[in-house]
This record gives sequence, C-alpha cells and structure tokens, in this order.
Amino acid sequence: MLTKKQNLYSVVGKKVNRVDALEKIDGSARYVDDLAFEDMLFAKMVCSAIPSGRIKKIDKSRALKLKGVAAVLTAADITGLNKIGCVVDDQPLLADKIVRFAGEPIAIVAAETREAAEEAAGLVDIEYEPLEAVLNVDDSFCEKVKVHPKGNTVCHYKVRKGGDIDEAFSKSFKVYEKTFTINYQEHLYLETQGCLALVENEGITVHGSFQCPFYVQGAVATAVGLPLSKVRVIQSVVGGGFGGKEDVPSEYAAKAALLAFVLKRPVKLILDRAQDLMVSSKRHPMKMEYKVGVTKKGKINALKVRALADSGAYTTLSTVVLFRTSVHFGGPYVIPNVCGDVIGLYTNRVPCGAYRGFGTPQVIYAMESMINIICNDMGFDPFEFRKNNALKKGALSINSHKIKESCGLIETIDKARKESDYDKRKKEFDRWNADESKRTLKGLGVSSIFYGMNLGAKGWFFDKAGSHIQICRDGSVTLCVGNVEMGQGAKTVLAQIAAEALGCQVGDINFTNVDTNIVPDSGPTVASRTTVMSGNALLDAANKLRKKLMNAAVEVLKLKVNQIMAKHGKFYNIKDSHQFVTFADLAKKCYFDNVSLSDMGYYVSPKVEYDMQNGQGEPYYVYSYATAVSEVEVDKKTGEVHVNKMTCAHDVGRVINPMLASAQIEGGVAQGVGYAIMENMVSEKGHIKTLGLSTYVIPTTRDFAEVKSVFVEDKSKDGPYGAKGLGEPSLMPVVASVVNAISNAAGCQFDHVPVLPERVWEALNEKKMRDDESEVR
Amino acid sequence: MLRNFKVLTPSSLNETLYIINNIEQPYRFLCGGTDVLVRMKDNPGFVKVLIDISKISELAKIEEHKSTFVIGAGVRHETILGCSHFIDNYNGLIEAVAAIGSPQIRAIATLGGNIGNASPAGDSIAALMAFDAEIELRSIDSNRIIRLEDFFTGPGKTVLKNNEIITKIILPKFEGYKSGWKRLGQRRALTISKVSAALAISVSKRPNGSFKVNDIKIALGAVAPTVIRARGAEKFLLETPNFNRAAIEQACVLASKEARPITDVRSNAEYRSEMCGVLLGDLIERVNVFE
Ligand SMILES: Cc1cc2nc3c(=O)[nH]c(=O)nc-3n(C[C@H](O)[C@H](O)[C@H](O)COP(=O)(O)OP(=O)(O)OC[C@H]3O[C@@H](n4cnc5c(N)ncnc54)[C@H](O)[C@@H]3O)c2cc1C
Repeated sequence: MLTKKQNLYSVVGKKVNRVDALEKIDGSARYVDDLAFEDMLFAKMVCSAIPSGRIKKIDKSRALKLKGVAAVLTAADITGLNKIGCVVDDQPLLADKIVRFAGEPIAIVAAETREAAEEAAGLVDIEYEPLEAVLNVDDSFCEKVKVHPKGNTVCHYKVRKGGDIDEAFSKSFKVYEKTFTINYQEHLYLETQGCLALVENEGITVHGSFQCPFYVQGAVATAVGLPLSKVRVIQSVVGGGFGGKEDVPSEYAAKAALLAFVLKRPVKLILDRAQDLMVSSKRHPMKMEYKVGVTKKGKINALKVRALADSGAYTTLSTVVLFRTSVHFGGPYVIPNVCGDVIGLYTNRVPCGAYRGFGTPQVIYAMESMINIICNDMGFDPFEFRKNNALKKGALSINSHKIKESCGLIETIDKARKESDYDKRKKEFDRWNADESKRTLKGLGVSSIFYGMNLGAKGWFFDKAGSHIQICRDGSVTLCVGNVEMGQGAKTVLAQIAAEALGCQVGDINFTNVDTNIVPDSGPTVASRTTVMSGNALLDAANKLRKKLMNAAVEVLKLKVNQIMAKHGKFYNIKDSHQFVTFADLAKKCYFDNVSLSDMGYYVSPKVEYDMQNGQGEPYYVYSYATAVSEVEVDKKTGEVHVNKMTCAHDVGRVINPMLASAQIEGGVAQGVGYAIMENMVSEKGHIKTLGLSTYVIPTTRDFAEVKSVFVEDKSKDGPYGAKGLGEPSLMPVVASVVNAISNAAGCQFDHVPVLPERVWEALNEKKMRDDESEVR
Repeated sequence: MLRNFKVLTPSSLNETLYIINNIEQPYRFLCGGTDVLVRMKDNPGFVKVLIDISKISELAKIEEHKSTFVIGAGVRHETILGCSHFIDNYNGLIEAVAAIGSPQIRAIATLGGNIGNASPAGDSIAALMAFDAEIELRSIDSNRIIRLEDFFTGPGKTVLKNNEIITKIILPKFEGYKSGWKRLGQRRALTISKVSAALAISVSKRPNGSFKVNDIKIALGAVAPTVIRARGAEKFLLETPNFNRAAIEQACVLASKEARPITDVRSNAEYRSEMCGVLLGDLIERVNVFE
C-alpha cells in the first residue's frame, strides 16, 4: 500500500502512455531493415546442412560467378580473430574445418540484392564428412561421442546445503520422486535478427536490433581486429528480444562488419524467419530429476535435484543461464537440506541461451509440479503449503541467502488466492468435474516464484550502467542510457524516473537510442535489470542536475531549498504553488549563467558474496516474487486445453507505471501459455523441422486467457523509488501453474512440456483404463 | 525469397486458356497467392511463371441455377461468407470458410485456390465434398465436369491437365439437410487443420418415433493423402434400422478406421484417426438431427 508520502510523486507510479507508442502505430519507427545507405550490399549466411562433421571442401566458384555477388567469406578471410563465444571461447564466428550443429554458419555472402545474396548462398558448395552426432543430454552425459575435445560438460553447478541428503530423506514423512522433461522454446520476436554495418571514420559503425550493444561492440572489434574505440554501435528500434537478442546478434553483427570492412561498403544482414528459427538460440530443453522429502506437517525438509540442460553445440550463455537455474530450482522456499546438480551438456544441436526467465521456468515447472503432487497426495491446501514453506525476511534460501528486505512472497500468495476467487472456483470446478455429462474438465493450478535481481554473483563484473542527461536551454531534455528499449517500455519508465527526479514533464524528454559513443558500457539489457540499473544511473545524473536547477530556483524564488518543490515542469513554493518558476526558465537561466546542464550518471549493482563450490552465499542482492493461479478447461474427448483465466500477483517493489506493468504481465502470460500447451519445436536427427510460423505455433488472441494482475509493492532499498524488475517474472510462474491446472483437471501430473492435446488425450485414456480396471477389481 | 519468375496477366478467361495451351515452362495460377507465394518462397525454383487470374471477372461470379449454385473459382472466401444462399443452406461450407486463415487471408484467398492447392488439409475442400460438389475444368478445346472427390490424386496432386483451369464449383441444391464442419488445429485460429470433418445429413422421423437417415455425406480432412469421404460410416448410417446414439457411436468408430493419417510435426496418426470419430460425433450432435 502506498503511504501518503509516497503519493507525492508526480509521475512515478502513474499510468503514463508509452512514449514510443505513436511511432510504432503510424509506422514511422525505423527498424534496422528500414535503414539504407548508398552502395549497400545484402548479406546471407551459408549454414551447415549436417549436425556434425568435418568440412572437407568449400567451393565458392559457382557463387562468385553469379551476377551481383561481391564476396563470399569463410573462416580463412576473417581479419581479426575467428571467435565469437561470449563467455567461453569455444565458438568460431565461421565454422573452420568442423561443424557442430545443423545451421552453423560456414560462409557469408554479400551481393547487390537480397535475391542475389540468397541465390549465391545456395551456390556455395560444401563437402562434408559426416560424424556421429550427439542429439540428447543422456548420450552427451555418457560421452561416448565428444562434441568438443575437452568433453561434453559445459558447466556443473552444485548446491549443497544442510546435512547428508539421504539421511534427510530418511527423516522425511514422505518422499516423492519424479523426472520431468521440457522442450525448447523459441523467442519468436516479431522482428527477426538483423543488423547493418558500415565503414565510418576508419572504424565500423553498426546499427541493429540488439539487447546488448556493448556485447556487439566487443564482438565486432574482435572479429574485424579493431580497438573498441573504433567500433560504434547504434541501436535501432527493436521489435522484441526476450533474451534472443542478448548475445546472439553479436554473431550477425560481426559477420556483417567483416564484410563491410573487407569490401568497404555498407552491408545489411537480415535473417529470414526460417533461418532465424534454425540458427538462433532457444530456451534450454532440460531433463530434471526431482526428489522431495516432506515432514508430516508439510514442511519440505529435503530436496535433491539433478537437471541436465541441453546447451547445444557451443557454450554461448549456458554458464550464466544455468547458474540462475542452480539458484531457482528449489523455488522460493525454505529447505534445510538440499543437494542439487545443474549440468549443462554439449550436443550437436542449436546452441541454447538466454530466454525470459533465464533457465528458471523449466525448474520452476518441475518444482511446482512436485508441490502439486505433494499437496494432492497429502491433502494440503496449495496456498497454505506454499506459505508454510515460503521465504520471508530472516529466512534462508536454498543457497543459504538470508533474506533481509523487500520480500512480499506471502502477500502474493494471499492476494493470488483472494483475487482469483480460488476457494469459490474450486468448489464450482469440483461440482463441474463430478458431472459426467460435461464435455470438459476444469482445473486450477498454483505456482509461486522468486527471481534474483540483476546479474548476480556470476555476472557482477558486468553489472553496471551509465547514463547521460542533457537539459537544453529551452528546457527540453535529451537522455541516453546504455540499456535498450526493445518493446518492454523501458523508454517510458526511464523517462518517468528522470522526469520525477528532474522535476520536468515526461513530454520534455527525448530519448536517444543507445549509442556506444555516448554512454559508457552499461552491461546487457537482460535479467529484468533495466528499470533498476538504468533507472539508478539516470537518478545519479538527474540528482546532480537537479541540484543546479534548485540553486537557480533558490535565486529566482528567493526561497530556501527545503521550501521548494519540483514537479510537472515547475519549481514552486511548497506553501504557495502560485509562486513558481518554470523548468524551462531555469534551464535558460543556467545557460546564460554558464552553468552546465549536462551530466553523466553511473550505477553499480550491490556487491554479493557467493561460494560457487557449494552454491552457498548471496547469489543476488534482492528478489522479485510472484504467485499465479490458472484456470483451465480440458476437453475430455480431444484433450484440447484452454487457459480461461490467470491471476498473477507480483511483488516488484515500487510499480513505476501500473499500465506497463500489467501489460508486461499479459505478455508474460501469453508467452508462458504458448510454452505450456502449444509451442512444440520438433527436431529430428539434429534438424529442426518446425522452421516456419505454420508449424511452430504460438498463441493468437483467440487462445488468450483473461489476465488479472495485482501488485504487492514491497519496496527495495536499492531500486529507483524502490523498484525491482518484472520483465522475466511475468512469464516465470505461468508454465507451472498452467500445467498444474491441467494436471488437476485430468487427474495426473504431466511430466513433459509442452502439454499437447495428443498427450492429454492419451493420459485421459490411460486414466480411464486404470479407473475401469479398478472398478472391475 | 521470391526471385526469377515472370507474371502474366491475361484479361479474360479465353486469353488464359490460350496462354496455358501454349505455355512450356512450369507455371501456376496466381489467385489470392496465399498458397502459391508461400510455396515459391520455400522453394524458389518451383515455378518460373505465374499467371495472374485474380482480375478475371468471369471467374469471380456466383450464380443460382435451378438445381445448383455455381461458384466461380476466383470467388474469395470473404465473398462466400457474405452470401445469404450459403449462410442459409450450406452451414458446413460457411463454417469451414470462416475458419480459413485470418480476415486478411479470407479477404484475398479463393475457393479455386484452396482446391487447386490440393492440400489434404484444405478446409473448404472437406466442406464442399460433403455437399457432393463438382468442378468444371476447362481448356481451350474441352470442358469437363468432374466430381470434386475425383479431382485429387495425392497431396498437391490432381487430375488437372497442364492446359486446364478450374472455372467453377458446382454445388447441388440441398433441401432438408443439415450440415456442419469442424476441425482441430494447433491453436484456435489461424491454423492448419490437424484433422477436420464435414457433414451433410438428412434425417426423418418414423411414425414410431425412431429416426432414419435419408442421406448422409461425411468428408474427412488431413487424415489421408487427399480429403476423403468416409463411405463406410455413411453406408452404415444409411442402412441402420434405428438411427440413435448407439448407431452414431458405431459410425464414429468406422470413420476413425477409414482414416489413413500420418504422423508429422503437427500431430500423430493415432490421435488423428481417433479424432475423426470424435469430430463426426460432435458434428452430428451440433447439427441437432433429433430435434
Ligand atoms: C496465413 C495463412 C493461413 C491459412 N489458413 C488456411 C486455413 O485455415 N485453411 C485452409 O484450407 N487453407 C489455409 N491457407 C491456405 C490458403 O490460404 C488457401 O488454400 C486459399 O484458399 C488459397 O487460395 P488462393 O487464392 O490464395 O490460392 P493461390 O495461392 O493463388 O493458388 C493456390 C494454388 O491453386 C492453383 N489455382 C488457383 N486458382 C486455380 C484455378 N482457377 N484453377 C486451377 N488451379 C488454380 C494455383 O495454381 C496454385 O497452385 C492459409 C494460408 C496462409 C498464408
């Protein structure tokens, strides 16, 4: 609840319209494919046709003969270093001698037209010697075949808490075990991957659709062989990222830059949807073995987890993604004895990486399914059970992180129950399901989550952000931060934070898209960190400028600082709002007094201490929390599932913009529902078969659930105005709560995601057979 | 990406017939383009010439005759949906056409294109087949009318000769029939059918209160190399002395057995077979024959 004091904010906490809405509606927003430069070439990648093998020969001659083809570059033509790995150096920019997944880029073509580039790409003849491919985590784990000479383990995170785990299980009243598997999820951003590189001032300038312009800068510098200062990255409007544009765009930007550098012409590389689906990263498929021990009173006393993640052919971000898995596999619960192993494994499949939730929705699904099984078997109420085990101030997480502040988990559980009308619905559904004449079964499912803010122990060295604010002499303001607007509403929320701090109006603010020449390296736009990190960096700059404005106001109004209030573009007498000076007049005054109204801001995420050996310590400085309740309806005859409603209660600290926060939750629900019941990436012998939108299917508005979002605002002392992140938490509880609802409707726990109608139908048949049998007996 | 092809734009049906009579390169008609352009994008070499027939008015007419409705091959789905004849008498067709793609697709895609594309999942095909539709195929020197059912020989394969075009779809008039169409897809809208079924049925009540099937036509989509008629189930219901729930259940089992589906990225064979029966049962229920 907001206190009176907090209500004093003029724009923070308000439903401000998106500052970039109009340009996206009227079509004037310039995405990278809208940009063009004179003499520009088009690039196309030539990708491996097999999942594993040696490259015996690359013959460019047919491609080079085609009219309009400017170049075909391979590993041998790279002017800098042939490496692209973001965290671990195991990945070449262009495959050299060996290919490790179907779709791995081997060559890159540039031509005068898109059509010629595409045709030429098909004319690059590659001879392979196929090798045996590793296509699943179990085979990878055995290491009969090695994907990389060093072996198949990408990373192995251990969490060891409490005493001997077997002894702990022996003390449990009941012990539950189950193995879960979960498929890929594709980001399916509306705008496919794309970038445009050109030679400028003896260096390279890259425009593109990125989440992490500073990663791109580094990758281009390495590939081309230039100092960072000669690589400038300018963000264009981004049509969605969801993690898919974290490290991955670096691969394409480096290729386009290489062509531009060699050919001295602008080069545009836009992936078409099929290639994007084939080569770009996905959410990790996982196999998750869970064992949970519970006391008679319903306390979880032991948890053993072994999660095998399919990292694909290269590490990319697996080491950081799976670190997060190792923090979140036990959920937001207090568990005294924990033994967890999270293992990333190489396979000859597409590399997996960042995706909204970053390695957590998979294990949340498994853990919350276990809780559902336990509640159903032991007769516990799903909310009470969660509350009984919930993290709260003073409690220890599975990593023994003592929660000190901003923990609204229990409130989210209470709110979710109340706002979903759970108890009434449950009774209605029980009655409905008892009626055999009904065509459908209805179910309710619950799931709770926590989410570590920012990059945490594994990424602290990246966890900083810069900003630049300039107030022009007419009172208009330019802002530049190092995190990007990618559709999530960052510009709006950050403009609100800056306007609040400066005392100007949101409308006075103009955002400059990220430009690596203007702001310092601000780390990636990931981990739900932008509001907090760039928000704090803006506050840092804004507070310095506000002081100067305030000094000017003191002079004009002949009042003391503490007698002046600044909001909505006016600095005024707290006691008499008619006595004021406008923001614009103050800007003008400062200009003619030669007071600079341009400043930089910088913010560093709170430092955390963590023991990687045992997975104990502070993995993140603070957490967001959420609880979701799903209502589903299952067709008894077809197995089709519809999610009718989702109630999501989120503790995100201060809500900066309630409208955008709700929109974020709706988006997370849509993406989570797709993941839970629909999106099915089919891969056969290392080849993805669902390379189009007619086979890889995501929800439309017709499949959409009614979403009710409610907020718990347990403020975080380190967040701007008390804010925490929401981008990923919005999706994270969705899959688990939907699958629990389906399981409760169908009367069996589903151990594989997506839960497709075919599987539900089969499960209902199996159940019917079991029931019939027991009737006979 | 689309490249290396030519578009011809005849202004009349005759000109079209002349062109296709003399053309040597592989070609396709371009009507709404919603199938042909997608296929060209996936497989750039697949045709060299497109013959744009979207503006030929002779193909875009709907006519009512004594015992038939005649729909031009170039009639768009959206047009069908706005046509009261069909709304009143061909509910199954309306249901199928209303489910094709999205409003944007229906505004440009045509019935002739759906048939010409010859997908076993073609939604209007199943509905039309349940109405015993026929089609007219014309070339410069011939004109033949065949049953729609006989047109298809496999996925994307038909008996259409290189110099022929579909000009008309002929729908017999139906009196006293009820009809419906239903599908299962990967999502609720804008989806390719995993299984579909269409039904046209005429039932009468005997003086003793029992029901008799006068005529029934069942078409199943996406469960065989072409859309098929479930003749076994039809025959069973036509011959059943007492058309009741038990008979319907048995017909559903028969329909499932008539399906010869495959497993692909959208679904599996077993499920598809079973769903034929489920959809048939649902349709019979939905058209409310026992009222
Ligand atoms: C997003 C999307 C969603 C879709 N959803 C559905 C759906 O739900 N259900 C469904 O059934 N289909 C669907 N389709 C497929 C397609 O829209 C339909 O098959 C449509 O009816 C094709 O009509 P068209 O006029 O666009 O055909 P075109 O693409 O112009 O032509 C298709 C084929 O038919 C041939 N052809 C066209 N006219 C004639 C003629 N007069 N004589 C002989 N051959 C001819 C052409 O040579 C070509 O091979 C979808 C397509 C898209 C892109």
